[in-house]
Amino acid sequence: MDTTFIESFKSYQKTGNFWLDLNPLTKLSICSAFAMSALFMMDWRYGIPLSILCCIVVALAGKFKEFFQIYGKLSIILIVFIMIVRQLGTRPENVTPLINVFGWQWYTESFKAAWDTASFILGFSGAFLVYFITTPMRDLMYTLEQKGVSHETSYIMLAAMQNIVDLRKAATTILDSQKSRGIETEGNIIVRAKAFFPTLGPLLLSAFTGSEEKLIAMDARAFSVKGNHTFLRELEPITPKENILIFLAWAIALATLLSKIIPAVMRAVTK
Amino acid sequence: MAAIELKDVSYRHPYTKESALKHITYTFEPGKFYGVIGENGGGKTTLCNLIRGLIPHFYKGRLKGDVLIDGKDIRDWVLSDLSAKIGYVFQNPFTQISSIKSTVFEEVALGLENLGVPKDEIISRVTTVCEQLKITDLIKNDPNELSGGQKQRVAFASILAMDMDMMIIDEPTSQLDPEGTEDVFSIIKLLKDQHKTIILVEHKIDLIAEYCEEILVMSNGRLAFSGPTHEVLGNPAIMEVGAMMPQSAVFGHAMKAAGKPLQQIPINQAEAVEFVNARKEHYGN
Repeated sequence: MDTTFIESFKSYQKTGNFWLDLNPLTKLSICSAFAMSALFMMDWRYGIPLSILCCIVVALAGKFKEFFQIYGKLSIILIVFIMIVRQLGTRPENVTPLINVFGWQWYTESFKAAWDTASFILGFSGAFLVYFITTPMRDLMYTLEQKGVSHETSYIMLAAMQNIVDLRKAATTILDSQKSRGIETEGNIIVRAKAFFPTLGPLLLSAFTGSEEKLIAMDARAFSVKGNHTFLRELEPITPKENILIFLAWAIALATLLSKIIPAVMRAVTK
Repeated sequence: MAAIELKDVSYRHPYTKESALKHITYTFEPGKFYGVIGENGGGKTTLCNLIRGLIPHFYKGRLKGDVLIDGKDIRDWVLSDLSAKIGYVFQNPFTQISSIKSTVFEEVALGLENLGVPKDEIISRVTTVCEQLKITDLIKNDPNELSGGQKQRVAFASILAMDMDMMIIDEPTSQLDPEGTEDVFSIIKLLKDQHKTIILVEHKIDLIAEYCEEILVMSNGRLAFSGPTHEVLGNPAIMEVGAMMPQSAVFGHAMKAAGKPLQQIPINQAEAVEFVNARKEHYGN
């Protein structure tokens, strides 16, 4: 019996990693502040360093691989898509030619605008991705329950995440059983679609019956019993040090906002 | 006072024409161990759902007659109060895992968390139950990734940890190997020694014969036979309604048919050995 593991429930859950051990609401607040600051700045000179900062934070939290699998793909798709859309939407009036690619003229202004938009989206989404990659859903739901979110809502959110995994497993099982009966399940997209669509019926039916039994199983675990529940796994509440971090993050967000508002006001006043 | 009383109870599922339970009358005494056997579709699980209050609170349909739990009509009970009173382990291990806990230890503790049991007590009870069910090496595993047999043990451990006075256990060993089955029955024996009221649905008739004090034989929604274990399992008529007799009882009847009757029809191996030895001593053959 792993007594260290069992003893760990007697105190707040800690991993020893600074970022991972922050209260989920602290992390959410900090990430939201940085995401908002990216929105306020809308500038590649802020968006790109913020993206790099996100990479550093997840790397220090030991989650870089998971983060980059999503963020890397997102970055490429976003940059290419926004660049193309911006170039296509640019009228060749009062613009500076940048490069000609096989007869397609690109312009400096649209390139810069696209780069600013893409880097803002990357900074914004990166901040939130850092949060979701480094915060287990159960930790978030625990803190929200502490703040008054109902036990039922918390369960639905957590169970829904697992149900996606379960449905995927069930679909694979049905496809495998089709395969064992000689039905083609691999090949071009039409063959795959022909094999997949008939699985939806049994898949949904099993999901419905599974939900009913799950409901009974939860009832057997006294889920609906009224009164205070105990939390075996507890997280440390927001500490004064974390409050300072939250304050600093929002101070940066406010500074970015002011850096945009003040010059605009000044321009308006001088006019 | 009886733990559970059924008075001429009939039940029909919604949108069906035939009743799943027909005119059941039976009294379950506190602290006794009951075995429910019978053919598939005979009404065993429906009976469990009824006693647990899922009928009529969860499964609607048409319920006639009276079901009294601790003297109070089942219709007057709130389902959540029953869930804190009667433990229920049901057949399918795959849907008994909550999906919201990331380790087996936390999964087993879930019911106790919901009951608001103090943390130290939760840790102590879960540790004990995990040891009893021999799942200590699984405590850090993800319960969603376990095999069917492991999930069944975890589901059983979860209910066991809640330490309720009444337990309904519906085929707890359907996914288990012989060793796992023995482990589960040794726990059930422990519960019996603690004078819990246990209602066990099980097809493994030799184990039922060994542990249960009274037997209910269900057939086509009716209570075909009921009474003390010896009386019911020694009666060959139970086979006419699709129930099995223990091997020892079959042997006892064969001896009787061969003109070499034993002092009583044995229902388990130990009794068979004892009665055969007694006969040898008495008759020399």
